[in-house]
Amino acid sequence: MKRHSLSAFFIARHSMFTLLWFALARTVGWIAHWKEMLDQPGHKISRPRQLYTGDAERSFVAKDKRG
Amino acid sequence: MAENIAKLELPGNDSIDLPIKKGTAGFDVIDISKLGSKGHFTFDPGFLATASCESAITYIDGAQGILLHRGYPIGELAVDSDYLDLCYLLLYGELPNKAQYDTFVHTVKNHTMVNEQLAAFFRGFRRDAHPMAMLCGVTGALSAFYQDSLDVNDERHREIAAFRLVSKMPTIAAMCYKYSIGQPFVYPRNDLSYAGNFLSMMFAVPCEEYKVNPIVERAMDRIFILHADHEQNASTSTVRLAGSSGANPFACIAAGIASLWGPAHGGANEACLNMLEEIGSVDRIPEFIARAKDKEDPFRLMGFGHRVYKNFDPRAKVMRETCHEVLAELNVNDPLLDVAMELERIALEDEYFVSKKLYPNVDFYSGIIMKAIGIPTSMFTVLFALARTVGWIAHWKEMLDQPGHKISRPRQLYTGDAERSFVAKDKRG
Repeated sequence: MKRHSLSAFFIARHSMFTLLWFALARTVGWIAHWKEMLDQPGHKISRPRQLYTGDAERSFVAKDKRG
Repeated sequence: MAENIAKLELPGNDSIDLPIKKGTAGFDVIDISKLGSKGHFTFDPGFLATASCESAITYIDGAQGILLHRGYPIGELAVDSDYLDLCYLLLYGELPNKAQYDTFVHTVKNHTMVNEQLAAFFRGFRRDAHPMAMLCGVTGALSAFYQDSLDVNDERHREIAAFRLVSKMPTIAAMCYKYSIGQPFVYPRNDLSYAGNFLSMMFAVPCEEYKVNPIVERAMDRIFILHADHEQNASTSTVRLAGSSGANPFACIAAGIASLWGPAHGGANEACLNMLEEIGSVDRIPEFIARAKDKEDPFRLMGFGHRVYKNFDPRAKVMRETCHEVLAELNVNDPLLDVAMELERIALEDEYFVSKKLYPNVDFYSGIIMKAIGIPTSMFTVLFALARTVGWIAHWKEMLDQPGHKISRPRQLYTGDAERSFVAKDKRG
């Protein structure tokens, strides 16, 4: 087997490892949690807050007036 | 006690001083990250009282009707800027100068095509698939096509992925529509504006020339501007959460699209149009207004008032002007639009609506504009996703740029069974 196809083989094997061990097996866990959430009475859309550290209000500058 | 410290009394005569962090605007927040060292955690389902991050992209003051992107008011951006100008602002933090703007527009416009193999990918879908199902699937699949921009630790890779998503999302969105109505895909045209090119890919057909109507083009651009970002909403938070693990940007945006698809998030203007269809004609409006006022009746008017903007939606004014421009220009004869305009008149005059702040909101006007342009309601959320993609990327980029960022990992309040022994299958009752 050539060197590049050998590494491709190992990359493919590694990807399949993530796929099988995690995504396939974890799907039932994901569904169980999704179901539990929807079953909880009065559940609402999640909406976190933020700490705003950006610019204070400033006026728009037209394209031809920019530095 | 110091003004920048919150003292929390804990069980067992213990307490902890929690630092209060000040932002440049809006609420200060109590930093509880050290609380875990005392073996305590906070409980806040839905994160409604939790700042999930520090951010400098968008500021909202719902009570006062303020929406700023990087400090600039949305009303000024919608009137004087254009969507790609805003994209640059969201991604880089400052308005571009002439040379930066030209380079950015050139880059976006010259990456509008998608890998030709994606056309074959589309053909795997059923024709009656919801456009959001296709958009979500195809966007996720982009990581299989653009493997040279997946290294999230490489700044240049992140930038290329951002360009690709902003450039290609209109192409993919239009392909979702064309596939669902059985028309051939229309290739992008780089001589047109961002919005004009999208309209062309949506409505052009190979058998005749398509001319972009400048008023419709401007309306489309404004819809994109008004939906570009809204700080830490559910889909944006989903993109951040997915991206916190180091997942590639295409996979993260696909997760954002999945979250936006939910009716509690991206479905508002679609719900508004469905309501107009339910009402059907102008003479039935009084009956539905009476039902809306009746607390016992489950019927609710959609597209009036806003959960965040309690008094005034800064986006609604410009969308209203645009809506009236488009309706005057296109002169569409559709009873649904007559119903919409009569409802608007009533909502702005009727004491019940005025006192309850049930003003026609941005979803009401954008829904009507899209309907008048000829965009089917099933595509409304797709357009929302298209416009919001730049906001998602800006937040994803901001998160990865923050020093020491880690994978997000919330705690839980466990309310299940305590430990018990496994019971073999043949021993179960």
